[in-house]
Amino acid sequence: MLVIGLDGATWDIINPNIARLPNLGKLISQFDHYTISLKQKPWSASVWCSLFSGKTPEEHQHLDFVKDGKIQTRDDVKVEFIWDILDKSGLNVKALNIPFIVPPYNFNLEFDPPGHGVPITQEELNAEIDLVTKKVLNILSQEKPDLLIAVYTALDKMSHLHWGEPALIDYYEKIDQAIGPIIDSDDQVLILSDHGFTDYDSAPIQTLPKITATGNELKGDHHPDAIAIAKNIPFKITQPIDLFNGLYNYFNQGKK
Amino acid sequence: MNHLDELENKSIYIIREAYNQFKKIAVLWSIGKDSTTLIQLCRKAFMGKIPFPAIHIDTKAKFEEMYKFRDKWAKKWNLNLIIAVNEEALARGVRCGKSNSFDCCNELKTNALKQCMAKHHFKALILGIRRDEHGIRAKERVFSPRDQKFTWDYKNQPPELWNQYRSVSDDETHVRIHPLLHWTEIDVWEYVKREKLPVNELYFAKNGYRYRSLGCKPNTKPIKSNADTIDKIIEEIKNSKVSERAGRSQDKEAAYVMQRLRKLGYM
Repeated sequence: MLVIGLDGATWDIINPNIARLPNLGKLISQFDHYTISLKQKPWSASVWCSLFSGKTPEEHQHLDFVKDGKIQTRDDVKVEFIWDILDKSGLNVKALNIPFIVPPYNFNLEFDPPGHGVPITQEELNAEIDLVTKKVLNILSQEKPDLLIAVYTALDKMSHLHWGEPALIDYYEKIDQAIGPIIDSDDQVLILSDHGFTDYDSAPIQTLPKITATGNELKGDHHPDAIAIAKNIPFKITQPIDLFNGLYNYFNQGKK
Repeated sequence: MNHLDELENKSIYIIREAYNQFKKIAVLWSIGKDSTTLIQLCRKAFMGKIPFPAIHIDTKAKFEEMYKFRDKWAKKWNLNLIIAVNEEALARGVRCGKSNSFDCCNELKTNALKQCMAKHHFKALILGIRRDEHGIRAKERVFSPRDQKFTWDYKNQPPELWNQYRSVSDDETHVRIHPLLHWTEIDVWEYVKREKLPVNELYFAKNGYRYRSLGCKPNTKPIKSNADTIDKIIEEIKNSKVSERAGRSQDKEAAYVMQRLRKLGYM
């Protein structure tokens, strides 16, 4: 099974531009797709943590990348993730570039993300698509893990910086092209985002200041409606913790 | 020839090659186990007397044990020791552990070294970094050019094929030389043992804790350990799944990440 994360992906970009996104379009036309309307705050670190730990923010207490001026590491997050649990039960699980911390977390593999895991320049933002795709295809050419999770994190930064601009649609198009061979390689594929996006001033919650420390103006911010596209996935996600529970139950029933 | 002899030979060759190319050269000595191993290799390369200075960048925040170790062995080994301190930043009140880690590293380490390099007109520096120490160091070369701003352009560096080091430098750059790049943490400890090298007492466990990597006091945490001998340390490292620099909570990588988050407005 493949779980592909698109950080900050929203139907508000995908639907009106579906003609330019043939791979996502094919999946949507053939399989289940729906909106995950978050009840928890749409903070990336916290939502990714909930998605893969099955814990609510009140339970995992991991709310942001930085706490008390210190960058949070895996050791600071006091939960077990789905990969920890399934790995112990003997399954082959790999997790790539999971952004509940920065640099994003990897399990059972090594990955050197662009821009120290916080890509900012356009070169770094583009490089993330290439590097994540290359790594996933490289793994799949050598083995077929029971569960492979990979996240394209830079879409979030791209959406903050370029909401409402053609460059963002181009970036979705790049991701669509990149994931084409990945989604064709497995019968079970789940694509999901941790939150959606919208115009900065319309966002129900501002996760970052409009003008950053270096003078950049942010154009977009997080929206609580996330996406899910499910190719033969035998569970549904209404809230982030459902992903963990769905994966846990599925693999514990021995349906590999 | 055994493994340690091979490592030693290669390192000594690199050090001699570097000195041959750059007369205005110095070796950085952080007082840790790697750079102390490097000092030993430099001493061996030149029959006991190193013909260039050793630089210690003093942030004024090292452990007391490190200062004692530095002064004792610099004297015994007759080192031409230069202590690089950014007095101007200290006068402005910059202190390790008080400012954010990027600023204090930048001021008290990078700028202290820049000032020292400018004052003494050094064109090359020998450092004790190892490729296995940190992910970003996997891209390092044995001879690694830096530009005037001390920036390392890792995407545009000369190839080193079949050990043909590119030791000749353009005039605008200084070159960093890494004779320990091919060593591992265990190699260093085995060499320390074989050569009976002195290493800081902080590396050995006391009351269930020891330091695996030494840096500035406010930013360096000990690990849980009962390894109070070199053999026990080697055994511990063989069984460890935690990175060597895990105790260096505010190391440079974290500082880069923090700087980038700040650029995006995270704090």
